[in-house]
Amino acid sequence: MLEIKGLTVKYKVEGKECLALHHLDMKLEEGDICAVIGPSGCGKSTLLHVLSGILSDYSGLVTIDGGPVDPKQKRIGFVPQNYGLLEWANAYDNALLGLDIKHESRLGQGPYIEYILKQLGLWDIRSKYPSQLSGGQKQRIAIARSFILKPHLLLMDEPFSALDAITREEIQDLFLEVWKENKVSTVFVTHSMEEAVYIGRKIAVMSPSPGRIVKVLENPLFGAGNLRLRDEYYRFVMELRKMAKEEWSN
Amino acid sequence: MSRKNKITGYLAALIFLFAAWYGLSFLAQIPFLPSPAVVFVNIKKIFISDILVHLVYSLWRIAAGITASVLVGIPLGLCMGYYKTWDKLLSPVVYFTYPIPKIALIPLIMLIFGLGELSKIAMIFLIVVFQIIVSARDSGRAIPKETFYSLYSLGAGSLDIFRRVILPASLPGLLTSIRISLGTSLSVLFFTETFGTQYGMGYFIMDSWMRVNYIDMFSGILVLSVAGFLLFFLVDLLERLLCPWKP
Repeated sequence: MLEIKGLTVKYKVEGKECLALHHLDMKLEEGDICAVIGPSGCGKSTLLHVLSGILSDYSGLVTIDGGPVDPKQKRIGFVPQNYGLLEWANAYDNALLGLDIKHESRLGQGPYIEYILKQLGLWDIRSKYPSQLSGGQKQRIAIARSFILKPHLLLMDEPFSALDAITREEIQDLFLEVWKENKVSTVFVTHSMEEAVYIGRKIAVMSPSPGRIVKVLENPLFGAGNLRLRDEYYRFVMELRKMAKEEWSN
Repeated sequence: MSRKNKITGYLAALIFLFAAWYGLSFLAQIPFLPSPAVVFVNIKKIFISDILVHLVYSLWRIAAGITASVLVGIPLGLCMGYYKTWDKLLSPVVYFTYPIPKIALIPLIMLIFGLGELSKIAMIFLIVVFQIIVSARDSGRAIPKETFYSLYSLGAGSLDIFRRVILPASLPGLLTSIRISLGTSLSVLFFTETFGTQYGMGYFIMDSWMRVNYIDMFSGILVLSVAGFLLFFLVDLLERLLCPWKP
């Protein structure tokens, strides 16, 4: 459903041209989850900005279902690194921003909205403003927003980074649960190898800047359940770490 | 500062100011500095019969002038803040016209709009609209570009972006510029009301002065000051109402 061929993104810093992404190729099947890992500054966020239609100044071919990236036509859920909340809207309105922009009724989705907000522990703080919330709570609102939108393509930039260890595991499980119900095609960026193995069906490894994808691994443990209790999980994470280290040191 | 502390602070300042006024008038014993007590009694006596009509005229001119400035200045300034081409075209014009002391244009304004209401409102508009354009543009520019990203990724149109991001994000800045405009327009108003009209607080104060009725004059000054303070307070109230997210 998602196809990227020769994606190159340049940007200017003080008049000098820099390459953020260079000839990046990638493919994502309908209903797949791809974790993208890479060293910091390799252009992971830039990749998501292209896919979400925020950045349109690029060369190469990027298609969603054979058509161009057009957030007006496609339902794209985006969880940015800085949560992307509107300071002047309370938690509830922020979570429902997707529906509002798509001009869809809130009423029809009522029970689902309540379910998501309760699962993410946001129901009791739904009338609070972002300035009154912690980083983890804001991040959960951003996740709730993308779940409630029921997107066709879900893009997440370090979506669980601000959560404490225990909440993170809970929310990761919730994500997998919601994903199983809807099977939405997902690309998510992370710097955590554990997270990549825990959630990704595919794991794409990016090179240092200018970023391109150097390796795509099938995750043999995907959907195996109770991963955190299994030795294979930790062994695979170790392997991945070793491999990434080699790629990034070159 | 808590709200209660704030109110006590304001009250203390008020008491201090009136005490200073009273002390000065008591020490000086000159006819053109009457005691505040005399002025209060006079206001109570003549407010409805003599002052109110002037106050209503002044308030109407301020309201009309500021409303017109807001209606023109805010959309224009916000567009300049958001669209680079608007900014490129209009900013130089604003920069050249902003520092002109527009009060000096009053003879010209009177030639164009006549001696009536329109020239007074036009004068307020001409001075205030620039302040509002500049601060609307700056608050539009100050919005971090990441704030727009979520809306872009949802496919929001320009209208949604204006309504959901640009307007609310710049609202506190706009209210501050309205607060500043109020002070400016009060002084502009006073000046324009000294000729070509027989109504308005400016006229009332200057007329009392000419009639050597200093008690009336001070009554007018006090009423105008209180009106100014209430207008400020109204903007504060508006801010609390419109910007509940502000901590």
